[in-house]
Amino acid sequence: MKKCRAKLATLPVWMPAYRTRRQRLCGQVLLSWSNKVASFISRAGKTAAAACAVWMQWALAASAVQPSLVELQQQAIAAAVAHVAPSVVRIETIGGLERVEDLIVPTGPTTGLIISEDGYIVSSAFNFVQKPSSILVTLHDGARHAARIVAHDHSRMLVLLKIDAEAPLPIPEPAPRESWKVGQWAIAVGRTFAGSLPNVSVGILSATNRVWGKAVQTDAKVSPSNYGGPLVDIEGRVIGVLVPISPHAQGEIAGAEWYDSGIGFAIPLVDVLARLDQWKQGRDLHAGLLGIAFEDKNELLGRPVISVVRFNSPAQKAGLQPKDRITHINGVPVVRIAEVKHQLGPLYAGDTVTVTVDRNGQPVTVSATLVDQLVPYAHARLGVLPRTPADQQPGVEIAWLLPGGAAEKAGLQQADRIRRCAGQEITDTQSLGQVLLAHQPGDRVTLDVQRGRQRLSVEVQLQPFPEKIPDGVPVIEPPEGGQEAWADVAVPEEPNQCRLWLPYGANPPAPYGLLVWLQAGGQYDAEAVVAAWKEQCRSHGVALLLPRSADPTGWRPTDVEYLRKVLSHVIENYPIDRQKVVIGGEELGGSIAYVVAFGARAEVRGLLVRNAAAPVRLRIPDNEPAYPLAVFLGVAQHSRLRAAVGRTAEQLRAMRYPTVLHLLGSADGTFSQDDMDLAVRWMTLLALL
Amino acid sequence: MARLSNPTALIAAGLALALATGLSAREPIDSHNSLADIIRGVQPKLVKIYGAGGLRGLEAYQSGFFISPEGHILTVWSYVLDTDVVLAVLHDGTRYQATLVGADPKLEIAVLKIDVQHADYFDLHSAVEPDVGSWVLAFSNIFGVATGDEMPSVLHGTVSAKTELQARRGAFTIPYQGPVLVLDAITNNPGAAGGALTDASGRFVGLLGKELRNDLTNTWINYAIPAGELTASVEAILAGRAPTSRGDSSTPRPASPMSLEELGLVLVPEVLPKTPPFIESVRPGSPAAEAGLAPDDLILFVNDHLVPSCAAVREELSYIDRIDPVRLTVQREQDLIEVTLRLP
Repeated sequence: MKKCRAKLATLPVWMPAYRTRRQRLCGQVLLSWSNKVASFISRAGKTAAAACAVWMQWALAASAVQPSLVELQQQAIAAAVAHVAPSVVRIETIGGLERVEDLIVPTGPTTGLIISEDGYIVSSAFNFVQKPSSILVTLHDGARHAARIVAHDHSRMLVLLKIDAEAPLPIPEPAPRESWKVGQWAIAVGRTFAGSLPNVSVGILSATNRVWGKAVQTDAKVSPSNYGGPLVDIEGRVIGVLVPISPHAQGEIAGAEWYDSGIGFAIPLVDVLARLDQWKQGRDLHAGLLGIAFEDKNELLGRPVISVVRFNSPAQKAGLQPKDRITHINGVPVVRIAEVKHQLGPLYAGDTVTVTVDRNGQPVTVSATLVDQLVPYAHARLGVLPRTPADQQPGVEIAWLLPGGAAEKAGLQQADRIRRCAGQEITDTQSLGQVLLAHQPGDRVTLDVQRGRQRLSVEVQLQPFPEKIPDGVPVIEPPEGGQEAWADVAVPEEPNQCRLWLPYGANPPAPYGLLVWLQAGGQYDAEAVVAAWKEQCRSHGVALLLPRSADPTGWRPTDVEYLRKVLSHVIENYPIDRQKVVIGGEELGGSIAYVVAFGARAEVRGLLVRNAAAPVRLRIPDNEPAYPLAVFLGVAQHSRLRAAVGRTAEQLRAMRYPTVLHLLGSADGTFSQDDMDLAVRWMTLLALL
Repeated sequence: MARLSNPTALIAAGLALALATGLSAREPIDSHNSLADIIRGVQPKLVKIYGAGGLRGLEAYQSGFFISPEGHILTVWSYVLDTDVVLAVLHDGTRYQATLVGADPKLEIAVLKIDVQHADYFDLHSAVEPDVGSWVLAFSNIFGVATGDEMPSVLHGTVSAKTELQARRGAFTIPYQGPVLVLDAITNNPGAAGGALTDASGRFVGLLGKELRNDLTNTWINYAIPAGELTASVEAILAGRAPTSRGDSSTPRPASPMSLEELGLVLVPEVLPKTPPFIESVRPGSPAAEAGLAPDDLILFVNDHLVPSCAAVREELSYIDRIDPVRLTVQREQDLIEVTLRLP
């Protein structure tokens, strides 16, 4: 011990030789001391402060004779900073955004860390959130270089820069994972203030394995003045790269609100170096997604029982199923949802993970390759309406072609009969629908078409369901003698009143489309609704179902169950075309319509809403291949709801629900005759193949 | 490695002492050197100051400390002192009405005086200057938690950086421009301004600054003005002279400054507030053309000052006399090129 101190006393603090064994020696001694004190502190809990003070007291008491422990520590810290300082660079940017979300982008210098001798530098993504047009790096000796961004790490919120340096650059020594001990010294280093020395903040390592296994935590002060700089141990080895990051939010600025709070994060340098070769290729790194959701929303308590397996996701491809309970990830046992997140959190897209699940008491192990993005399912369409009612001949006869649709572009004509699609025999509209389910918009399929006596083979590039409603959607000639009819619909054990209006009576030539219309809260006037919609409904064969809320003052969430029941009842008992069942409503009735539409996917094919955004608490589920759902949102152009409805449309489109956002011309946001005409034309298109 | 067991034993001994000290708190093991005693020795030098404020988030209190045995108190100049009655409350709870001796508006410091003899005080002339990374103790009535005979609060931290506040470039909006110690102790809070910063031995280091935002990072900055910057100004105040602080260096603009037009440079049109200063064109035969500057070069530095926008280039040139040379650093593709221009 004495020997070690003597050495220290003779060594100048900033001497480069400190980076060698001597500095290590001193570091180790102090490290072991500090660990012991820290572990005592963590055990002692409330008396921590007292213990610390006394420890320093003791240290100072010795100062009369020898350098005190405090002095030794300061020398060790200075030596650790000097050890890493040559690898810490200043970054300055030119140009870019002034504001990102609520953050006014800082304009001052930021920090980076050299990680390879040939000029690769890692920094925090926060430092480039403004998307600068030029980046400048100043090395420790003052030399300046222009830098370019090579790639981002969107999982760990880092950026890789490259400068062209003539001589090999000084690289830091990484602190191996085994060396980390909670309570050890941790020194945050930045290079953002004027002057040649780096800026430092001293703390301890507060935790490892934070932010789902991606970061370590420190109580050293971490802020824009050192984001991108290293967090080093007492030996000057780099534990991690300082970043703002949040376990709850994503993005470059998430976690920045915790600056200087005593809660700071760093991404382990060993993890960065492990991916460096891949990263140098210029490919962005993304968090790896599996594509599952859990039933239980409490991640600390809940069991990892899968509730949703996203379509097209790695989980689906690997064969994971709802009700499976995850027991192991990469061989590591997991019991709670949080443990699953801890195992999956550090993984990148492209990584392969083995997942063991308990399925009906049997262990099943599958392997999945994670992806960076889950692509929702979108329904593919040829853009034709079939002839209804269908004749008895095999195939599907085209009654109408969507202008600009896939079939029209491929040269198909009215009265062509589709006999085969993508190599499969087509017997009726249902079999054609099944074949289309297996394809995505953009896919090319070959159709065998019968045109008169000719057989043609035509290649068609499938399109998504249209989000613009064309003119010329075919109308129906009302049948002669078909008189409108009213029916009262009662569902056992439900108090709600409900009326059904059939435009040409109970025996129409073809099944009706069905529009369930929920009036705004507290209003109920079935005759008025029918009077408004009558003309459009007659020309497109649409029946109106008009339920009333149980509580006459307005709709309640408890009405949702009733609406599902009455809908099923009408579909079963009246001539209804299941492809054209639409639930709709206005204002509060519209909010209820959203809930019913996403709750009764098997029955509902369309959602038609006037002046209502999706309820805030509604989680929009995945689009499901078996249950297509199209959405028509009407909102007054100058309504205060305009923005909210626009956001709903964006959310729906992101999940690949075909969504028409229609701005209503009238000042009060009611449907004009033209608006209603557009709505029923859209309903007719629901049968589009 | 065998030697490493020694510290363990020593720590154990230290902890045993800790318990012993805890039991008999009034009998410290070493009455000259323990941290507790150092802090106890410093605390009586601090003064709690109460004055104007108390409205709309403006606290009516701040901190100060004795700088002479005759009751001179150094504190920050602020709205708190902007009243007829300023109260100074000592560590033992005694209250005095303070009179204002004088203030230095550039440093934003003030000296008060109360009528005492033999006050415990900091001698500004025996102050020390710590290194970056050194431990420091910050004494103040932060958040006003101490009242009456309660001692001021103590924070510990390290000196993060020694730097200069450069107000001219709009980074810090206070009159003081000069050296500061940036701290990693969070002193940037109500009531802390005017407190004392000492080293781990209790020796005076500096005066805790006011709440201040660093516009370069959009974060609050914790800082102290080092003793060396204070002494001349304090002496002038005590001597009744007009203070001449060193921080008084707002750069004067020359009467006839350099201009882009004379240099022969046209920058790209400013479509955004932060339009990067790309060169649009260079007038043939001009100093810029002779130096080899070309369209699409991006001007990065004017005399070593980063110029992130067209406006910053103009601003920076306005500080340069047209008879002086100007050094420009430009980026062309990935190369940095430095040129010196001079008007004929």
